Amino acid sequence: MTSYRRMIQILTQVLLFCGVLGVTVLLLFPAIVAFGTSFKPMGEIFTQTPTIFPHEPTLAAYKKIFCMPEFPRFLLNSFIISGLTALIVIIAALLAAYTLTFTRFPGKKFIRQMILMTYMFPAVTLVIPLYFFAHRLDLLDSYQILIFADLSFALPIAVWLMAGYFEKFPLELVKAARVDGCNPLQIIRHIIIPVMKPGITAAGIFSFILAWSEYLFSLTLTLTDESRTISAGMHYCLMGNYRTDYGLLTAASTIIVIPVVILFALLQKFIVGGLTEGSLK
Amino acid sequence: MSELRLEHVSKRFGRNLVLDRVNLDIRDGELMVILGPSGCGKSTLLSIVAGIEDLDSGIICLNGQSIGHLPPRNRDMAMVFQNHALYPHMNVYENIAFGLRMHKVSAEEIRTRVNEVAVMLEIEHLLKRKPRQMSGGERQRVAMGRAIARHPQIFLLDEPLSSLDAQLRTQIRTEIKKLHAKLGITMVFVTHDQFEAMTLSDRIAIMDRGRIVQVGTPDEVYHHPMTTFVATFLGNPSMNLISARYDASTCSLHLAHDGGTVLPTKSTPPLPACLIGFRPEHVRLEEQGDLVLDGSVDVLEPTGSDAFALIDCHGLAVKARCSNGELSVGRRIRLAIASEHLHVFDAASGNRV
Ligand SMILES: Nc1ncnc2c1ncn2[C@@H]1O[C@H](COP(=O)(O)OP(=O)(O)OP(=O)(O)O)[C@@H](O)[C@H]1O
Ligand SMILES: [Mg+2]
Repeated sequence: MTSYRRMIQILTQVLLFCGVLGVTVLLLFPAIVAFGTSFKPMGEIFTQTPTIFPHEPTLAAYKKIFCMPEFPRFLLNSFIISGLTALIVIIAALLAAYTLTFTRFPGKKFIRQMILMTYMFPAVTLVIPLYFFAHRLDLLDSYQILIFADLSFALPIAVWLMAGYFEKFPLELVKAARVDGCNPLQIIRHIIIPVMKPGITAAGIFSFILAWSEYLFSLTLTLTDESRTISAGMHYCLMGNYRTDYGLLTAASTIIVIPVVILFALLQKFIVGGLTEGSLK
Repeated sequence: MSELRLEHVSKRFGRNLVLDRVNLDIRDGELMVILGPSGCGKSTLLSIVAGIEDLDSGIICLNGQSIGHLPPRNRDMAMVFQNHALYPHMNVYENIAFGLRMHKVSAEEIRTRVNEVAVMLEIEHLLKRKPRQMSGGERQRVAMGRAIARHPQIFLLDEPLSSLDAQLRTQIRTEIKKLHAKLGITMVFVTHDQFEAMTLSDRIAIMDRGRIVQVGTPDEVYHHPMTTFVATFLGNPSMNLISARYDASTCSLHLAHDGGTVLPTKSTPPLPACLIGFRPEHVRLEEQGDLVLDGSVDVLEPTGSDAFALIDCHGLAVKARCSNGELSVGRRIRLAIASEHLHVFDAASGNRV
């Protein structure tokens, strides 16, 4: 009886595993193809019978990209824009989420809803207004306008994410800190930031990834390589009018994706981890 | 010296008057318990004393000096919270040291004080643990330690035992009382548990809907309640209250439910309608008494050593304490209460006559 039940159990597990594996392969297939292609020599990219992994793997495409004169500039731009976006998001979202969670003021519910409403506008609809906006303010082709565009997408989500963490934040900690002699700045520094670390990290990583992989605005709001991020930069350099080098393109995609994969691995840990277990009964 | 005085302290949350002209004198070295039902404003009162909440009007004085305008850090008070509120990211040592660090106590002094407190509360072995790695009782002790290490003038405790199980509660209650005797510090202890209040306090302040209705020693408030609220709030089961009318021609009280029973009174209540109160434990199964009631036993609730009986006296439910096995359900009995155990209240205002 028990061995029969046990067999059913194992069978269920195996079926579940196969299902999950199938879905994962399906989702990852394009990424795997791109990854494989990036190691192929020129001649092997378009063959009669398409392959996933190359017969003669080569790093030629990667070498070529690293030798491109614009490459370091793009990388730097991406790092600066994503880093600043994440930093601003952390500060602004922390304050906004604290206020939205713990203070009472007229119109709070409305504001909360408006923050979500920003998601009703697809990015494409914002390209032209943002372009005009940047043009008027003479901000085209600048870090500022790209950060601004990234913020408009990252901030609302980050505020919601952080507000979720604050829901679980025991306000009595703030009271205890005040009785212990903290002023508001000390409370932020010694209590709120350390306790909210998972939320802050999650929001920061999330915004960084969002800004890092942003493509549309970088493509439309930049004019030169001065402020172009890596995704748009690679587009300009590698997508010719008549011929596209898919080896280079897939290698570039792989390089771009690496930091995202690493950050996602980190993010997962913070989203799963408990927040304030043990601070309150 | 640390005396705390509250004068006409009022506080509103929106339209809700949470504290209504609260007056309270807390003497140096006293353990004052503030007792009241849930939502009557106890925590709010404590927060105002600590300076976490602003007061709308009134005066708070510490040793004769007004402190109502001072931020919490300048009030020299420590507080233990309802849910202990330990900082989750700090270990026990850091939790206790944090307040001292914020008050710029020297590192060496901090070390001595934390160790001193750890020995006193027997939490030395926990100093490296984080709050989530401890049991409820241990956390509560650390929370006490955090407050004690500050060496405050006033020690505020907001229902520190409410999250503990019954056994631990008794144990820590005793520890608090010992600690108070040892430190001689002025303590304000908030609770909604009358047993806790009775056993711990030097004096009790009883709160009802934002007002302090009576302040006195446990004996005073139990045996001499000034209002029907105090009379029924204290004691388990609570005091019997039965309505009566005053007859001026005979200078006596007539019970409203049957009119027959006459009670000779010493003082003359100038009121037409009043309530007569007496505690279940003062009900005797005797033929003679100042107040005599006839009835039959409705319900018996044995509690081990004795039993509580609900007695139906011609439609009037009277609670009485009797020894176990003395009564049986349905038996017809006569109850007598001596006049020194009778409390008379004004039916309209609820105040003692
Ligand atoms: N920040 C606040 N905003 C609005 N109303 C509040 C606030 N804090 C408390 N109140 C209200 O004030 C009243 C008193 O609250 P308080 O916390 O002082 O009660 P309490 O006596 O401590 O109750 P308990 O025994 O349940 O802890 C309650 O009716 C509560 O709803
Ligand atoms: Mg309370």
